[in-house]
Amino acid sequence: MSGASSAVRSLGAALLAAGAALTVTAALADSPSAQEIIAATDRVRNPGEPFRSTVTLTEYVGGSERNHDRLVVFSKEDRATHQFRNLVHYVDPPRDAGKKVLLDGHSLWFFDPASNVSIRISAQQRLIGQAAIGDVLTVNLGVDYTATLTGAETIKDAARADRNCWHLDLKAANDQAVYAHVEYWVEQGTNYPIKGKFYSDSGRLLKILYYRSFAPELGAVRPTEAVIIDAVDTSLATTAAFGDYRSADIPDAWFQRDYLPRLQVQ
Amino acid sequence: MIGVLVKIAWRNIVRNRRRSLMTASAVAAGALAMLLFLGYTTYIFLGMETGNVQHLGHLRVFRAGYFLYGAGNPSAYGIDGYREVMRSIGADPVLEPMIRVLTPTQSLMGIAANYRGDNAASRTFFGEGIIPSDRDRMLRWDQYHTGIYHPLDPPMADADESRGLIGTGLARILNLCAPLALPECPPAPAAAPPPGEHPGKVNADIAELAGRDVPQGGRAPGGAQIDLLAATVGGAPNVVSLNVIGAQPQGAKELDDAYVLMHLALAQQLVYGREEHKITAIVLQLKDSRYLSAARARLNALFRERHLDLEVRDFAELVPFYGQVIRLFSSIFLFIALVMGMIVLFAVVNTMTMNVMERINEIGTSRAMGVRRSRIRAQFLIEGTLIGLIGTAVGAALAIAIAALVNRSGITWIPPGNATAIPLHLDVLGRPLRALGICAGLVLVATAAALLPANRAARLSVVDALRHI
Repeated sequence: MSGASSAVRSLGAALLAAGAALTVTAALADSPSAQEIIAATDRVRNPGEPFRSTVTLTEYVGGSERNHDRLVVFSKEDRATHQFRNLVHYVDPPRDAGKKVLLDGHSLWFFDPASNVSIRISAQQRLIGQAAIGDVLTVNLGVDYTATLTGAETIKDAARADRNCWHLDLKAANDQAVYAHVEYWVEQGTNYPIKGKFYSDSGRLLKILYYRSFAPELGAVRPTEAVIIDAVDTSLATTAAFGDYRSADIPDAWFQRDYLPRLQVQ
Repeated sequence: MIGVLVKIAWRNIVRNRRRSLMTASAVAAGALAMLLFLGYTTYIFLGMETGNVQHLGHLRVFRAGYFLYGAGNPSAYGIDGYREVMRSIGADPVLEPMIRVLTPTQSLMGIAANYRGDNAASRTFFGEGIIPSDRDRMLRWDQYHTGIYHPLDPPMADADESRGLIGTGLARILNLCAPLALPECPPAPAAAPPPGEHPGKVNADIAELAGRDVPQGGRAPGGAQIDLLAATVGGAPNVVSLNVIGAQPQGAKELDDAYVLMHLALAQQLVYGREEHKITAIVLQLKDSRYLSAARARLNALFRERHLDLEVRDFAELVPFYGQVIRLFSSIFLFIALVMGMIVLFAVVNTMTMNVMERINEIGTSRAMGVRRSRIRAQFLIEGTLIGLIGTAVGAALAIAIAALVNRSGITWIPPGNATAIPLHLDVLGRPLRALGICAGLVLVATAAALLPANRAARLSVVDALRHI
């Protein structure tokens, strides 16, 4: 039983690690247009080439640490859909080591080496637990949402420092978009993503996201940590630390459900 | 001719007063037991039918396949353009005069959570979205005058979409005992941290970030507000708040621990989100249960005519429990009828045999005077029938009297599948044909029991009979 619950928790890690590639749909003449800002901040978050990275997830309940996961993630953009496909491999804790998750577009497959089977995880099953936080980081802002610029705003970032930001309002552009409505703050000039607020179809605030610890990784300064706060169960928070970015030549064959059992990670 | 035979039989019954009394009593006891049990089952059947019709309606229209495959994923089986379908059902000249209530409903599943206060708790729920005024009108259906009417307590309003009721078990699990002032509902013990997970020291950084945009520790813990989480049809996570205005006990514990009754609009908001709002079922409550098969046939014809991919199910199909209870009570009734029939049979056989033995001389004399065998046989058969008639009449009168007494006494009980007590009512004459059948059956058994001794009497040789001492 503990294996199952830990697996679900760890799923979140997998999803989280799946930093989505964000693509500009239309470059508008005016500068800076909302879509341009989104595109630029997407380039800050994700390298433009296939890469592997290490993600450390820490779960907090009421502000105190509860759980720890470390995973290796392989990401590669799908040329047809402009969405990133992600393959997640659990490294730590030992009870979860060897478990894998494949996130391809909106379908999610989970592989457990103990039973040697791949299971599809439905949307309903991703509702609670930390599995749901993946949706915050894998939203394909450029493709799935239409952005409008609300204005310039000065907000406090995760470290309580003032940042001059563009305040963007994102509306779901198609049925594939997970959230109906997203508020996003991007720093002026650097295009660093600073903060996001994610709303459900019913208009309820679901999650708040902060990016922090900006550092050079794989050719650009990128956020190396995300803090995700659950706005429904307000006692829950998760941090995701990204590191060890390496560009990697990842064969397309890896992103198949059937390949999950055969994937070996050093 | 018959008149004389009946007179003789009657005289014989009166002559052996004590013996006849005992035999008639056995018949009366049989009639009494069977009629009272009939009254009880009639009351249960009608009560269950009333309860089901009040909550589910007579007929429900689903998208084809929902009944067999849809329960696991109600949101995938929504009825498209349900308003148009309901309009065409409501305007149909055949159906219109039969329908009492025509209302939409949405079933849904998800997670109910109460994150307020110290004890955060959550549980998967099974929900029903309804239109409150229609539901109240349905709950008032009472074709059989059972007096069963349990309104939503406190009532839900059509205008306020955020209010709803939950099962008492769910209220207990979600720590709502105190806010809802529920009786016999002890608060949950404080949750111990799971073994192996030692709560570390509070990370001030994270705690500060978490508290910046959302108030920590939830809103005022006094309010009975819960969050309902579900995935929309499109797979997006969705959350709505429900103001719990009360808890209603449900018959089965599994349901009591998971039931949420909410406004249709709220249920649709949760399930369909930004997409087209659909419903799970169109509910039809008829003015009279006898219209059921006619209404069903008409609905099917209507859907065929308009090429709608819909199916119709009645409440007995939706609640297998209903049919199970009916079969259970029917088999118990059969058993009682068999036992009572045997007792009556043996009692009458015994009495009539003694009768024949005592009256051998009389039979011999009659035969010597030229009375035919058939008339001797008829003589005893009529006596059996008379005993049966008298016993059954007395039993029926007693049954009616006892039923009246019980009905006036105000005894209450909780029927199977119910959560609240209702008055016990014995409906002896609720199904008059069956009551008549029971009485006729008993008279028939008494007559048949007399057949064997009567035959014996008829076959006696005259000389032997006359010589018999």
